[in-house]
Amino acid sequence: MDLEIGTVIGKPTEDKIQLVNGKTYAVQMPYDYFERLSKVVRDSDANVFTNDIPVYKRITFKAHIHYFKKWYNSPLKVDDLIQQFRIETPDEKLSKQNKNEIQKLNYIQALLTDEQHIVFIDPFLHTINDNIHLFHKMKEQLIDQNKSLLVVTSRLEDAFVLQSDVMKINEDGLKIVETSENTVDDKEVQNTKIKVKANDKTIFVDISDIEFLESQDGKVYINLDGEKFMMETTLQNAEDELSSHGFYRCHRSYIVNLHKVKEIITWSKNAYSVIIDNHEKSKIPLSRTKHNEIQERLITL
Amino acid sequence: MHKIYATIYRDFKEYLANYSVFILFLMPLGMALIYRMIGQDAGETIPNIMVFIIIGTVLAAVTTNVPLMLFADEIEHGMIRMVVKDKKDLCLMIIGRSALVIIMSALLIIVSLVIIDRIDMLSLSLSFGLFLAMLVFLGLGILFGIRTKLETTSAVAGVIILFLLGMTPIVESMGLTNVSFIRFLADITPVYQLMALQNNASVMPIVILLVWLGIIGFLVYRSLEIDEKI
Repeated sequence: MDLEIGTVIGKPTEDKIQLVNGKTYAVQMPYDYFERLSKVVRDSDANVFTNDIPVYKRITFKAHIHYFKKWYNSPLKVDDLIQQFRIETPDEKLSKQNKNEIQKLNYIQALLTDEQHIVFIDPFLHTINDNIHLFHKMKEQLIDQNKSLLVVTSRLEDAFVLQSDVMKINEDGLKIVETSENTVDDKEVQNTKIKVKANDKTIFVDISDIEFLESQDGKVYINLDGEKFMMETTLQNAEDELSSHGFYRCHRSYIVNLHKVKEIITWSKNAYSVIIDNHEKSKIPLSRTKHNEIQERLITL
Repeated sequence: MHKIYATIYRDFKEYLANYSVFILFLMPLGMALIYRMIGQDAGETIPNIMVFIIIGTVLAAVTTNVPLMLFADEIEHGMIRMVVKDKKDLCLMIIGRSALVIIMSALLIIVSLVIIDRIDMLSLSLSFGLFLAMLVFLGLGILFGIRTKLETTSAVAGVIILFLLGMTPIVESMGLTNVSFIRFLADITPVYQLMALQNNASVMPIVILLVWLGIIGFLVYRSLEIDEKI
């Protein structure tokens, strides 16, 4: 099954993800694309699972699993599934189960379904560690069943929970997220990309994608696409490295990418802010002494 | 076939757990018991009108309202999309639900007639007419269950069907059939066709029931489009 990226981002592009049986895929994309992706995938032969799980609340957990088993005519045994997913109260109605238990019903349905392609949208959002562990077990079983699994997340860190090979979709299309494991450390990479940390993984982000950097509690964080990644350096070192790429230190704790500056707001004679051209319209403090200089830098950019 | 069995299994579990559905099952039985007690006190057999009010209540309260409520609940909360992928799946789900509702309706009619001691009125022609009437009322339940967006709206539709089509013989006991327009409308309702069959009418009641079935069936067929709502 081919997932055309153009139908998800709403722009023509030749990028696509080819879902092959027995393989897993992790993709990060902005939350805004989820609804469109859900519709595209539903129209194909795939089962989509979201955090919004509609269930028959009046029947018991066990009866619900029996229903799925009968509907899909699956050979898996209900008692084995209850044991594997550690369902604490299978004979209680679903209306009395908590959200973490109900989430396991999604995993069970994924194993029972006869569809070959399974898509989970943001499965790790507000999920407990136990369920993440069960998700990984489900993933192994899906591979054994020769099904494909596509996990779509809104945060890059969540995508790395699944596997180290992660793709990213934004308005420009699809690209592979470069990590220290899948990238050759050459000079070209060093010039255009920067190393950051995401969920204990080292990834490379394009310098041009960075919106701004901030210093918090002695650590430096890079902000891009609504996410924060830690950079193992000081703000001063980051300023030295990035100033030739159009970055400007507008405040003691902030460095902004001048290419991403939308406007400068004057609140009063001594209070200024820089507005970043991103989804959140981030407001970055601008030092009084830097007000004239940043305007000159923006003009000569 | 396994999808039909799965639907029957799930709906059966739902009947046991859903108090609204349970009350609908008890309604005609309660009415039968009350009429039986009234009949015993008066020392008379229960008039045919009362019998057909009970039968009409089974048809409207159970055969229409049970699938109507269940479909409306599933559509409002997005449960149908959980397993239904295409039109074929939806049709199999409808068949499963319909089979169980028809069985429950038939059982309730038989038990109600046994309670009021009128089981002997179930002739071959009346039984066939009852089967057609069940399909008509079932079709109404499916139609309104799928078409309405909210459970509350579907409940209103269910109550209207119950009083207008299920309890039509009441107009006779209220003397409203003296008005020719009301008489005409009452005469073409499904329950009145059953009363005509019980009175050894010719083939005309069957024809009228088949016309009802044709119209409802066509409307249900047009409604079976998988869209975002379902």
